[in-house]
Amino acid sequence: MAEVIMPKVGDAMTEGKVVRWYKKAGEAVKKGEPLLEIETDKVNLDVEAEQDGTLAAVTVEAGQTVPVGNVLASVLAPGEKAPPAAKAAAAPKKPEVSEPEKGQQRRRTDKKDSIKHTTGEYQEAIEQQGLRKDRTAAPSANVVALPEGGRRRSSPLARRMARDLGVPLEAVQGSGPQGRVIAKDVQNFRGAAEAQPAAAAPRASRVSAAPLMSTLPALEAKLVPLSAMRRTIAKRLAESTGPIPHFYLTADYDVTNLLSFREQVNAIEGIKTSVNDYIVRAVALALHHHPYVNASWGDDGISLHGEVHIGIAVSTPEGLITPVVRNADQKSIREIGDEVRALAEKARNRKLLPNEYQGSTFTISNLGAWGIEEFTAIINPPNAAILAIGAVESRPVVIERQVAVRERMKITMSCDHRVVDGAAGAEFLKTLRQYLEQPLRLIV
Amino acid sequence: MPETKENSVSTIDPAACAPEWTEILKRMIFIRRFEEATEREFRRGKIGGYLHVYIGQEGVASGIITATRDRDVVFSGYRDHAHAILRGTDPNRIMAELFGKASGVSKGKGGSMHLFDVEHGFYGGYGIVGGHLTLAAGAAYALRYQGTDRICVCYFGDGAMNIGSFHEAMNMAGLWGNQGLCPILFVIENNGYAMGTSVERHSALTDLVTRVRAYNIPGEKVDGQDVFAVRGAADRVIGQIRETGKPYCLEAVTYRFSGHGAADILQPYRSKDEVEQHRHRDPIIILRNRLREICGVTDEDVRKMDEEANERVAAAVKFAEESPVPGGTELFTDVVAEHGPRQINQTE
Amino acid sequence: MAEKSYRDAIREAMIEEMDRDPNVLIMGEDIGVYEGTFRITAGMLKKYGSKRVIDTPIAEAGMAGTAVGMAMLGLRPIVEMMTMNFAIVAADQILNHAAKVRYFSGGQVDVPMVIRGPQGAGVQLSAQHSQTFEAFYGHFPGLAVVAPATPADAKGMLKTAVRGKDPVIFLESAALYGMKGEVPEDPDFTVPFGESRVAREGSDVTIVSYGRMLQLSLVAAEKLSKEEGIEAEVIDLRSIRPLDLVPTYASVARTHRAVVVQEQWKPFGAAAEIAASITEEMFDELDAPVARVTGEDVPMPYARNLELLATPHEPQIIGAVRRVMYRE
Repeated sequence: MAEVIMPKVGDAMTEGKVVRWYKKAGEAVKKGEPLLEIETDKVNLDVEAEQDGTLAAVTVEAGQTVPVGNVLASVLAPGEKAPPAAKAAAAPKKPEVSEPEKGQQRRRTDKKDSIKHTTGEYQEAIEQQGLRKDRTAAPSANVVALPEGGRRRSSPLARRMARDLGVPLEAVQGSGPQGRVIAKDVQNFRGAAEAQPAAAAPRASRVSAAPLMSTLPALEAKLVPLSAMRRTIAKRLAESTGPIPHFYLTADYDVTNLLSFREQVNAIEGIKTSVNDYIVRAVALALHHHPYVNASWGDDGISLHGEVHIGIAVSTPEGLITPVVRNADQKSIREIGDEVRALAEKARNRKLLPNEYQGSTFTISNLGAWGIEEFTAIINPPNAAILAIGAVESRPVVIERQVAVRERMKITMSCDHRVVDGAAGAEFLKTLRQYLEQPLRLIV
Repeated sequence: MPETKENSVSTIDPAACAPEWTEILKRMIFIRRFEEATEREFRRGKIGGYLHVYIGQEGVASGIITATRDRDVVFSGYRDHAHAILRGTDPNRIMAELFGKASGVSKGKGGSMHLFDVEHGFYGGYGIVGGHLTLAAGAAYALRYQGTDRICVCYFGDGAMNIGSFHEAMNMAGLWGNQGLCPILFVIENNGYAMGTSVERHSALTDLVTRVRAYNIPGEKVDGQDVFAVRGAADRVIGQIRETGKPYCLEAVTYRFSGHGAADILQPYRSKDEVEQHRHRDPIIILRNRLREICGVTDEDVRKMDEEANERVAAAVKFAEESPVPGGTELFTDVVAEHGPRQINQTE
Repeated sequence: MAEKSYRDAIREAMIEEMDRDPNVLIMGEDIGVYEGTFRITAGMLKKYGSKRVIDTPIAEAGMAGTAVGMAMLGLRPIVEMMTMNFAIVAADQILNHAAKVRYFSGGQVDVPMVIRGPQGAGVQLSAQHSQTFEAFYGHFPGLAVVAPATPADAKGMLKTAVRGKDPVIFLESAALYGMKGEVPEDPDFTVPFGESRVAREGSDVTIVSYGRMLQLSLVAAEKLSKEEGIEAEVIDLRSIRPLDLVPTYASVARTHRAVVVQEQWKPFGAAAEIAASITEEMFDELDAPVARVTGEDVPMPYARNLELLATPHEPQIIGAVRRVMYRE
């Protein structure tokens, strides 16, 4: 008996189609006589009988595609009987191939989609060798040995985000290979940092949703491109007065009402507020109206901060530090007070975490307690301004042509002229005046 | 034979005094003076890179190119100044090219090895030995494909015959010639040396034209120092090529008096005696003597020709010297088609 | 639109261009009487005659060089390399002549020619017949180098190549010849060079590839989506020279991580160029080093299992994606 198989007739041929049978099962065939026509991806060819005899056991019908090497039929020598197995194979006449081997099946389906074609086989090759599937291993770590305690690894994106968010990279725990700080780490760190002050004052947070306080519209964070004029102003001013061209605006506020308001608040049992807490809130609200004061200079543009974070200058034995009340515009006077005191305490004990003293958008320095009537402060970069608060004093003033004694407080704002022009600063101080002189505004 | 030509070049009777001979003598003298000037300017540091001059071989290019038509095309290797001059390229622009100036034929981007003047049918100017042979065969095919009767002339040295592209080009030209589709004249400028390796040392068979016949390309040897012989052969075979579309090969046996390149000072591969011997067969002197006999050309006539040539060469040097260098933006032009790859699908 | 194989798309592009422009001709080894080893040129000799369908000797330098000469004189030859591996023999003609003659002639000639043929591994052709050449040719100014990944691009880009003015290295993937896809019917449908496309949109990671590896990348991307919930954006570069990385940069700006996939050797490969460019242009956007998926650094072996181990498969792409996403 001779098997008639699907012959491989091309370099890349993996399967062939039976186009038609010239002979039927049971018909006599002669050696060299065409038995059937096959079709490959390139050609149509006749398959000839390799010996004289009778065609038998035709298992693949016209129209079917089978892998190379698949038996299509057999030719029985004269007098030879078909073996029973061949008959059994012929019997089912499945529309698909007669149970091809697993490997062949894979290659057959593979061929239809020439991309997927090697997946299964590849798997097999890998398994044989006991190799990893994704054999492109990560680049080997520490090809060049870096010194111990050297620079912290971080992705470029993480570094940029940290810079933009004012997050100290050293404080962030990296989750990438070799402790690389990645973007996710910076985001997580920042989220935690924002949650932290609230955690430091848990009691205050309960009061935070003070119904009296109106909800402020959200601020928009954006980069305002520098106009040519703005660049020139910045350059000229910087040349004349150093990196930050300062100018100063001084205002004298009447805080009589504020003091009496505070007295009433402090009369409530368990509540203690300082004048500074009111100033922080007033400044935070005023900044909300003047985004250009709540801003930073940069070579690419002026960054308007989407949030208001007030730095409070605190003197410690080692020197000055400015803990930050984050989102001060969203907090009540009492919350601010609690937080400032907690932060000041930490500052004096040198317990401040970097995220508690970095990232301010505006700073207040209050020397009132030292009896300083009025002074100027140096801007805390990258803030665009700082407010120097003098002592509250009783002074005679003229009100409606009458001399009266009022409680007065002088404040001086130092402005980065590249960002804040004189008029803009004055407008801000005007708004601040409304908050400080009409303190009910602070809670409605 | 397809389409008739806009101009035709008549064949010259070698025995008679035709005005063309005097013209050819003038051109050969001019080429000699031009090449001497380029060597001088090279020594002065005005010309950079490689510089291969044609001194001693003038008869080969002169005898053949003067027999071609304006619309025929010529390919050459890197010893290409004479071929461009004979095709009619402005010598000012050739010298400017050697000086690396914007006014050069190839805008100062090619240099000595890559003179190029499509307007005058001069298709370069190639620096890789044997590389251009295939291009020339393809060009010849294109000329016949387009139904013209233009032919292609391809010059190369004996040294180019040992590189693969020579054999591939010859075989394909032979094959296409069998179909009348390859009107090309291959000219072997056999100056005896592949740079510093003599023919005996670089070619197993020193009868070079025989090797071309192996590709069913007929050919013959011609005395390259005798421009009468060269021109006579050119007249005869160019017409035949034009007629049949079949390739032909002329092996012009010649000699270069100068070094291989301007830097070839010591020339350890040949003796001074040998060079002196060959100087007796200077193609210019051979032609001059012949013209004395048949046309009565006098020493005074030749002196005038020399003077004219010197003046013209001096003008070319002046032009080159005074021309501006290419602008910096030229660096980036002509890399790909003008409109860049995004417009690559725009057909004209 | 009609569904066509990559092979038929190439064939159709040539037939349509030969019908459109009598200056277009095709030459190559056994493309005429034998009808082509991949049968892409079957029937063309009969249709166009031996002057336009030239059976050449086995002489790649001759084929490529004569094509340069033809192109300089105004014809638009298409040279079929039986496989791109053989074109190495014609390197001098392609790199030293075709790519440079426009420049050193000061722009006096156009060289409108196409060198096309299959490349790549996959059918046990071993070391000399399984290579890819995009990085090799991509290095040289004066050439255009394209590697279409779909039947539509194969057709549209081949037409662009034939209609152009510069030599084009048209790299076909032998493994894609049977792949089917929608191909526009418009005889003037062309795909410009130097415009990469987003083959699959995604937000988590950018996979950059071309040719057959692009298809592999798409398979990997689907798997990543289904099994890991990772949405990969897949960029099909389509042409290697000119190289358009703008959509890649835009994608990396969103995903902050990139994986570049090429079929063969890592050192000095196309992926190296692409990865370096991403790092140069998008440094501050990267949250992970750009990863490369490449073939192994060995000559292609013959044995089926070894060949499979030598070339990239989707597990490697998936692995690289996981790595840049810090998922492992």
